[in-house]
Amino acid sequence: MITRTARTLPLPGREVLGWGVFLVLLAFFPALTSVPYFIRTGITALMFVTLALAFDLVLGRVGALSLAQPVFFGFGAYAAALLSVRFGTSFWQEIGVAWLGAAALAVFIGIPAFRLSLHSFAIGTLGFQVSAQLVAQNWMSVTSGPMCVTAIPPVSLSWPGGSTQVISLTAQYELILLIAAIAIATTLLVTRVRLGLAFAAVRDDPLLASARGLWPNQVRLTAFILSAMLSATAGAFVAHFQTVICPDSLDISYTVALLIMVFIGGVASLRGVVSGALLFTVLPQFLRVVDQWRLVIYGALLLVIVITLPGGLEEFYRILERFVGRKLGLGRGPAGSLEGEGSSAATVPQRVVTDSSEKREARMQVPDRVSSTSHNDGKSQEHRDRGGQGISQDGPRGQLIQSFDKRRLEVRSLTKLYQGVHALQDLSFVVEPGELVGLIGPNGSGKTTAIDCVSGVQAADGGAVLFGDRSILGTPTYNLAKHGLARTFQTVRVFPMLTVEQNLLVAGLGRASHWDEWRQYLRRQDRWPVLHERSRELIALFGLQRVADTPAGHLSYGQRKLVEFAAALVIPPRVLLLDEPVAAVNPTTANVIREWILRLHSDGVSILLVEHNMEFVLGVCERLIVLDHGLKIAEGEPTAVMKDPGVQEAYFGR
Amino acid sequence: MQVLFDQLMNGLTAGAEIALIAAGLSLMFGVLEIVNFAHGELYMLGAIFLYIAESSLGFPYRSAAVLSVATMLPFGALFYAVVVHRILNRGWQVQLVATLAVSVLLVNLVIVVLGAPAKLVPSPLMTTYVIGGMRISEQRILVLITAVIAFVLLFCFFRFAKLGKAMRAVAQNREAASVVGIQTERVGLAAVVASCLLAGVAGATIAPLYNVQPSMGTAVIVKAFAAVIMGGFGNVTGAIVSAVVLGLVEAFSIAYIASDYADLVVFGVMILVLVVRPQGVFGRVVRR
Amino acid sequence: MMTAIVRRQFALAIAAVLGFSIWGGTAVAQSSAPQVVKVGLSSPFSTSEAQMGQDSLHGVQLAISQLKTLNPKVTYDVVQADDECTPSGGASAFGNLIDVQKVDVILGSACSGPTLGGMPLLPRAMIPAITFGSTNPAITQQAGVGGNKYMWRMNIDDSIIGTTFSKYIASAGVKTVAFLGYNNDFGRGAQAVYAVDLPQSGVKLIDSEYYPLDASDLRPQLTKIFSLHPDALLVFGEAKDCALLARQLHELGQRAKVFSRSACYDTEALKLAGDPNLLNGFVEATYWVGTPSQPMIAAYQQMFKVYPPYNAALAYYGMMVIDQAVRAGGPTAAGIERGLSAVNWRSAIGPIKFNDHNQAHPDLFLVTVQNGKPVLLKEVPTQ
Repeated sequence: MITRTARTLPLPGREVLGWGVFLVLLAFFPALTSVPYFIRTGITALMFVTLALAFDLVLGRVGALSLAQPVFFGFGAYAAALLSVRFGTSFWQEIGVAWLGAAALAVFIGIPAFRLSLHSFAIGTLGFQVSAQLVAQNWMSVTSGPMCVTAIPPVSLSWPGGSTQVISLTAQYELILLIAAIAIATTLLVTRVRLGLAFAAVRDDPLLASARGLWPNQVRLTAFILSAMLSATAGAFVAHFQTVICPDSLDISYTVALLIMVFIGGVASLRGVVSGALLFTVLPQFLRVVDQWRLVIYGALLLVIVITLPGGLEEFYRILERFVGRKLGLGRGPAGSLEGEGSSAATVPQRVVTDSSEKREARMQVPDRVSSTSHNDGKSQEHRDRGGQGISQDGPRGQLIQSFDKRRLEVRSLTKLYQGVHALQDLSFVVEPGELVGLIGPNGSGKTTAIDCVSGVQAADGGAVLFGDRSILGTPTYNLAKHGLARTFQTVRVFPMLTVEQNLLVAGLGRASHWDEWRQYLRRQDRWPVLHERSRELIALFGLQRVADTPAGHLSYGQRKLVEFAAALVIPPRVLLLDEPVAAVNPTTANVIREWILRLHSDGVSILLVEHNMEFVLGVCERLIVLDHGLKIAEGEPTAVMKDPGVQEAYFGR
Repeated sequence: MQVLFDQLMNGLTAGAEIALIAAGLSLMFGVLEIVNFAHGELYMLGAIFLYIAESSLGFPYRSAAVLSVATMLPFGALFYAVVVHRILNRGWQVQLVATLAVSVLLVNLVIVVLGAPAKLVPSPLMTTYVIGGMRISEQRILVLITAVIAFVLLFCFFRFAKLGKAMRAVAQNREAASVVGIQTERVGLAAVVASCLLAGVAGATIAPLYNVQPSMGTAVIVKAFAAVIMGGFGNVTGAIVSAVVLGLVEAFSIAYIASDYADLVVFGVMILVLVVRPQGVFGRVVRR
Repeated sequence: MMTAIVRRQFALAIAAVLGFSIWGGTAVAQSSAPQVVKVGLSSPFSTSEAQMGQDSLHGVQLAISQLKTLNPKVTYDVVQADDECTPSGGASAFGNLIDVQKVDVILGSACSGPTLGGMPLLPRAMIPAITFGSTNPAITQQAGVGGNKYMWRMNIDDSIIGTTFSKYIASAGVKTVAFLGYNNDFGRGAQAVYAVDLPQSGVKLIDSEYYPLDASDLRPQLTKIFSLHPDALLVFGEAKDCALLARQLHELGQRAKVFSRSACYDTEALKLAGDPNLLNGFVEATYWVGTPSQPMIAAYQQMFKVYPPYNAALAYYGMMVIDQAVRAGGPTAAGIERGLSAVNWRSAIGPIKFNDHNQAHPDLFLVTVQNGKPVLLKEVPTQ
């Protein structure tokens, strides 16, 4: 995809206002025309806006190509149709059933589906869609199959006083406009609350997100459920609008239409998707003059646009914005939200408010037990692991961690096979609490594999790993991260579309226990005083102030290394696995990193350091472990190990 | 008992048809990692070319079939140059929408140019043989034999032929392949052309059995996808085997469960395989 | 590869094209003057059913050309809207015809889905619509007295044909029947009807199998059916499916008695079967076939150079019914609505008179194939 530079955008408040005005204008549309056909077209357009935004929630915001959207839409439609025809239910009841059912379906489909890789996920969800349509087609006793559910009464809104029916075309238009407004509001909200950060992280780099403590499948499932509920709501409305619901409501043609709308509009772009949906609902009505060629034109248009302007309308809008901006001489303002594929900066924290809600939240930040006094080695593990333990906010600068319990990392007989090649053979070593151990060896000796196995990124074929007194082999990476086992990657990983600060915020979010993480999803990104302070502190300490609001993908290699390192420290870990932290880094940056490693060491963090840079290793490590071809060939005090003939042979040959 | 054998034969022949279509789809994904949503239309075009060769140009079946398959060669090159080449290094989203657009374009272009109604492609292979009480027409035997030949040829090609091995190299790691001197562009072109040829062969052999119509590609493509997925993305021979299995599953579901639920069972099997073994029956875990 | 500048130009060019087409399309038609009756034809004109729309249009055009001399006082004008053979498409097409093209009467749809989807728009607009090919019984159930007074159906559907055809099947000495039909409202609806009607005529329905709309391979279903040894088959589909059936029956070596509602006698079926003699002996119950007493056949052949497909013929008669209504009630929408209830016309396909559910009862035709050619067996009144 095309990379973009950080662009000028109005303040987030202006964006919300803009959409509000737009929606109000749309509400007046029926007054402008007396032709029912145009209002009907408008209703269909708004329905597709809702469906397209729901689709983009999964496709654009968490990066999963789900082809199962018609399942939720169709479910909502059939539920509303059958309930109102057989039981005369009110719209609220139908929505309630639609939401519950759609959420349940989303979980049912999502849990197995998200285990699949990208392409298989698409085809798997496609299979669900085809199956759902077959069920609708064949379950004659319930859905009447191809005979359709007919004579569906109009929407009935009931309240304590009585009930009204939404009969007139204008009333129906306003109702679907309300539903579309909810979809737009949901999208706006998601980009502004912490859940949006989780979405973006999981979308851009699921492995890194996992290493930071986010559970990718759970995050995706959350988006999936939201999307399902929105789609089902639109479906419930359409049942009443069309008065007849047939199995074709679950047809793949809806998926194709949504794909076209979202891609032409611009994936992950609110204004793009909305305009794409509007355009492609309204356009065919004007192409009626060329019926037969209509779909040919569609296909050709789609092909041309996707090849020449893959960012879609969003790209078009940005060109327009820059053009207009230049003409009006607008300066660079503070950066905007998480919009678009090339989304840029975070919302700048405008206020650091410490009202009661924030105080409460400050207490929930960190899972690690903290007290202001001693190193509590003696305390029990369970007590420590329970989430929701507090931190005390002493004065204006709250301290996130003053001390934490230590844990021992023990690797026993770790084995990893690749098609008969031993990447690791019976590897055993220990990292005592607070130790700084180096893991070295020639290329291909298994150092990264060892880190991968310990951190849950790869599955081992034998052996055990103990973190404290708990066996963690097979524990998912995100759980390990939440318990304080952090790591960095050999090929530096950051979230390229998020700013430096957002990268750190994500790390902070992921570090919270599952429950605490979920509890804060709906809190605003810009009101996060404790974490904002902490990240600003780290940014200052690492010298990244000038690029704090730049997308991390635009930074130099060295800067990205610093960001990755800082992110691992937002909330200091118990054990830190560093995979070549100073590889290909200039001496100044290397020094910064070394200072930090030593500082962490003195704070009591256990560190396992993989490196090639001998000078660096010898300068910081207390102990060295040497690997060759997956075997441990030496261990001990650094200088002694380096003199070992076996080690020298491994590195330099005989 | 006879019924069992009859349904077995039904399933095998149906599976062979899916296999010929799935082979090309799997090939293109394996080498270029592009999911070609327009592959069903390539199959349809093969059948359409056959129809044109027979009805407009007046060729007899055998030469018309050869001609129609041969036409897929330049068409494949065209497809590569115009579409595939431009979407190779784009994200999967662009690839998906582009091939989808080609699919929509091709189906409707054929509707406009040739009309939507079904057409018949006659073939002299109409005699029915009786083998062990089972009846099978000559044309279906042709399809079966072609599928087997395709399986063997592809297997040997990937294992022994230089170009085949080059394709496997590109499939595993494009950059590494180009670093060792494999001309990845040409390999990509070859893969697309081969994929189109396979689709053409499928069209030419299967078309006389049924009606030729613009929507015939969309009817079979979902099952072809299921076969490719089950076989493991990128494993061509695995896709062929899975296709035959799916054909059998379909025939037996119609016979012993209910014909209206047959499709559901087929997809249920695919979903089950994916749940138990996400990389497919024969697949290796795709590098990501 | 295109540079960013060229790409942008491309994008602007496309935007211009879109803009132009939007501008070009916004011209809204004027409503018709009193002596011109504007007829809106709703049918599929795209997707795989596109042929239905094309055929229907030809039928209407033939009728209009004849009406120039038959009823010179009124000028008929036909416009079309594509309903894609789906309910939402029907709602959109009916809406377009009513609001944008401002027709006086709607003819359509040939599919059931669009008719069901478009029907609700009629009462508010007070525009009548006549379908000539929708088979879903729900249409009649919802039309006429106590329901949608503006929806009319000219063709008979399977709930009407069912008893007659079942009696005929019984009279042919058949004791057991297996059903094979489309898995859509046509096939399913029919199965529900015959599951009741056949036993009432003393025939046992021993098995029901279905096939999806775009299926080609019917052998598994056929193999299963023949393992149960029925006396006859009852099949539901389109002409192309009947052709496939005939060929595959031959392939499986089954010589079965086939009763059909699948346009098996139609030229298309005979052509697609390769050898039309494969269909010899099939008996089809249809609501239209070319009988000698239909002058429209020759006229159609003269105008369009081919034998009329059944959608064309039905649309032709539908148009003629509209003319009858105009003569009875007047050349306006309200007049046509009034006139339809008064229509009492002896057409070449039987009596056209609408009952209180706005349903007419033209004749049922039983056609068979002999020596590869369609032969009329019986014309049965359905009143």
